Amino acid sequence: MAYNILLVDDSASLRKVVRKVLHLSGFKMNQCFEAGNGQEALDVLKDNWVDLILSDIHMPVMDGFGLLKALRADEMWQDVPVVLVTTESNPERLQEALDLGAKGYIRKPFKPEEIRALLLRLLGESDDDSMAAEDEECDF
Amino acid sequence: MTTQWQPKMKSVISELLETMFFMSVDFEPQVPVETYRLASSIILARDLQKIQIDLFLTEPFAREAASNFLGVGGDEVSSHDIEDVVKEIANMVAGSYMTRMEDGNWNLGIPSMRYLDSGGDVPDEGLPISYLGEQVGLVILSEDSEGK
Repeated sequence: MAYNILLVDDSASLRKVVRKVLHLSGFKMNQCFEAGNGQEALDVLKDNWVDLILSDIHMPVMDGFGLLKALRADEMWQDVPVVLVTTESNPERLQEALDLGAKGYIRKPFKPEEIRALLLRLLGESDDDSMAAEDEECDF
Repeated sequence: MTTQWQPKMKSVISELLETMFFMSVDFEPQVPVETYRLASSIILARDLQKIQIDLFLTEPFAREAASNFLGVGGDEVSSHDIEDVVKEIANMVAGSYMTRMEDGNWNLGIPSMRYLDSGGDVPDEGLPISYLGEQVGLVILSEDSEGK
């Protein structure tokens, strides 16, 4: 199965890196959407279905916590896995994010295999199921 | 200016630049060949305490870091890419430094970036970053407690 993914981070370069990491690691992506903050992510979700969201916490306009709250309040999105890709290390803040519904987090800097392993685990896939990703376009 | 923070900061910067930028640096001061053109700042805050981390980089180093980070050639890197990467470096430095602090519960701010004029105002003291025998960066950590 190939997944629709939404990358949410105010750093365009970080979004590029995560997208590339996922692609090169063989993670199966159908479409890859991007947003620069939580509000833009919600705008993307108005018109597009995603299977997984990777989001930073610290962003202007609407941060990761705001996004998690908005998703939890929406029946359509409350069960979509959200993984945080973040520099946050404060245990209380990370627990707050998990309490708001995040399924896990990866701290920056990260190794590519860390993201891949966590996503596969969350999506219920094993490494043996992975295939080379099809060409995808990332829309912003 | 205290230098107690520098051992932890060296570990943070080395790990970050090697893991995500594929660059191995050292912290021996060298004579800078290029002036620092880019500066990024980020604040850690807790109650009435504030820590500010300032990162100064030369443009060629920032460009190479952006090129490595993005996996593209140096000539494919735009100035916007470089600015963004410099901010992200400051962001990850601060976040990683937080994990090494003995007392937690700091809140991490959002990094800012600015260009420095030629001969811009850069402090003399700090942690130098050297790459391939040239000094390419400087990190300064300053602490402030209200009422001090």
